[in-house]
Amino acid sequence: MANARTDLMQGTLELLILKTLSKEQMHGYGIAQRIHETVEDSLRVEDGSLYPALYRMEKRGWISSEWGTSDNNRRAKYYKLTKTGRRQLAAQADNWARIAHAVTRILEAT
Amino acid sequence: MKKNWQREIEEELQFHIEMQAEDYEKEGLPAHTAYARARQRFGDSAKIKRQCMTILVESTVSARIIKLLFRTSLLCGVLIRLLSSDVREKQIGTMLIAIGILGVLLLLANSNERLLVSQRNQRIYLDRAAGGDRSRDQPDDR
Repeated sequence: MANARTDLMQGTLELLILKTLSKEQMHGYGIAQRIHETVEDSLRVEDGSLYPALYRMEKRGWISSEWGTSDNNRRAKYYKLTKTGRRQLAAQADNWARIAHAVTRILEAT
Repeated sequence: MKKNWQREIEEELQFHIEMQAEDYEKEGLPAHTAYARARQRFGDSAKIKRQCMTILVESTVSARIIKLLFRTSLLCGVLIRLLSSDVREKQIGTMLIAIGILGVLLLLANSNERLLVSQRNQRIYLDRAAGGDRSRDQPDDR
């Protein structure tokens, strides 16, 4: 079983993006790379799925974007967290912790 | 405006694929293999572009105008109900409030439904084969 894949909970990708952008503004590729590096390949996000999520989050006002220049001197779209996004990150992280705690307790009990 | 959006989305997605291809090349892959693998890893770019466009179009002026109309209807209804003493005018006010609430609720339900569908489509998976297995770069079955 080389490639067992499991769908994660809804909204997880958004939480990962919010957390990744909490330190600095990044372009989409940077966000994808940072997520992959952080979870060391144990959790993978299909790269393309990042963009609809980014657009949705921008529409909701959690992040904002602007075009800039990348390290290799190319035009790239950079995303950064807004104040609303920071609040959303705090709320989602808290929610995630509660769910993880509850599930862990159930698993340990059985 | 739509063309600009399309162009920007294409540019953004293309940037991602090319950056990934460059990284693969740095790892020693030949250029054409690196680009092909980057595209494969990215997923269905045409579908992703469509999804991004849909999200942008939904936040356009026309969508905002519809939302504003429902809200204005609600506000006018409340004001008429408060300020008018005429029974008939009060009825009109009630009707405007009803239209406003119904419209706002419909828009809310619609956006929540879209949100659920799009989240369901998020292609996140756990890969238990942590390590250098290149087959992980294969896209999901569609």
